Amino acid sequence: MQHLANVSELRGAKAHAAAIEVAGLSHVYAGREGQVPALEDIALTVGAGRFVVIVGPSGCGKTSLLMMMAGLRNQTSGTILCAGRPIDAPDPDRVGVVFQEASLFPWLTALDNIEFPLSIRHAPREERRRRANAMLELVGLQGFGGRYPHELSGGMKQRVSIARGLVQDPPVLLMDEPFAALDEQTRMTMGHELLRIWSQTAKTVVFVTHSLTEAVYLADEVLVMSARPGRIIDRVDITLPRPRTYEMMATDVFGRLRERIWQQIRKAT
Amino acid sequence: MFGIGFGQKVAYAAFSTIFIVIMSAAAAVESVKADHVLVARSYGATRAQVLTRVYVPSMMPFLLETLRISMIFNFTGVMIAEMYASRTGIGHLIASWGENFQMPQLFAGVILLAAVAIAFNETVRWLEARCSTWRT
Ligand SMILES: Nc1ncnc2c1ncn2[C@@H]1O[C@H](COP(=O)(O)OP(=O)(O)OP(=O)(O)O)[C@@H](O)[C@H]1O
Ligand SMILES: [Mg+2]
Repeated sequence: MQHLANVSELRGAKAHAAAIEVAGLSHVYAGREGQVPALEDIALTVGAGRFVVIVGPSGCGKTSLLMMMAGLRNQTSGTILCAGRPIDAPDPDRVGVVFQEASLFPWLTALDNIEFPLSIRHAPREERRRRANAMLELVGLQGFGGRYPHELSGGMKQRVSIARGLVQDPPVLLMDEPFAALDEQTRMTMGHELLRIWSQTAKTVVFVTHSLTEAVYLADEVLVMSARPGRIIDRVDITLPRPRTYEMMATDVFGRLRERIWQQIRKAT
Repeated sequence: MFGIGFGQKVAYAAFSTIFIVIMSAAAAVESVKADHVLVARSYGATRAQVLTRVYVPSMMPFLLETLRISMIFNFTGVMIAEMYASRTGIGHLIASWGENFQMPQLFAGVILLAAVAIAFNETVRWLEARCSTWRT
């Protein structure tokens, strides 16, 4: 009995373990017009398996922050831990990144795009094919593997991007406005699809968006940033139950949460 | 009148196309998207991999186009140079056949030249089409 209790305690601890911990993070760009402070004293914790959305005025440093979490850019000061270890260079085993729409390689087919991260690491051909096909199926694009990006719709392209981000099975997925270029309807569908994929794969997601509706619909928790230099000025728990449905958007709770975030952003600008 | 030798032909051909090559190389490098480089880096690509997996395929259509255009310049350039300033080479032969009304030889020469030029042009165009179906 004692033993069992310990195990479940451990499980509990694991479920609440932090996937990403950022502490005292500041960043200053050395631009042509001198020093530009972009981020100031950012502290945040993203629990494992959580869906965290970051919103904030344009130019407040959301992309910069994400780049640093991905190890693609070094911060001026502060620390970023991912799975308990500092991240200072890209590490595809720990973090996958999904960029904006045009980031697929146009000279590769959908399947080859998804295989790209594996081929960079010289994974065997068989395994690459197998995993890429599994990802293609996960994002609902069976039969489209042979198409080139210009032969796919915007929504399909982002499905491929998501598949590419997931193919190495990293515990964390960073997404920088992945649906910004899509029309309203496709965007809603893609948000819903992302939640399905998220719940099937149990990833930790950090998602940047300008759409407050999207933020509330997707998130467990929304972080609001101030205008430049970006700081985190509010943390909003999204208490809506899961799985989320489109009908929830019409509820009072949804409206109040959205309104609260909007007020914070207005104050911040 | 002084003829042009092989070395001079090469030098002349290089000179007549060097500017085209420089300009389109610049355009080719510019055509590489920063996002694509970032994507590759985020998946742990080394510098060499970024070069071969992103730069080369991004630039390929530009490089082939440059090859094709500069070869056209080379062909005409060298031909004209041979006609007027050389005692050897097909250009010179054609010029002298023309002056001596040796019609069969003249036509054969011209057709041969045209055939070579067209074959080259079409080969590179075919390659270009294959490498750049993705350019819309
Ligand atoms: N490489 C750079 N050099 C200098 N300044 C930069 C650089 N990259 C970004 N900045 C500046 O840092 C600030 C934050 O940029 P960042 O792209 O992170 O903002 P963002 O929140 O993602 O904006 P948006 O919502 O428009 O995408 C901006 O003011 C930008 O001008
Ligand atoms: Mg941005």
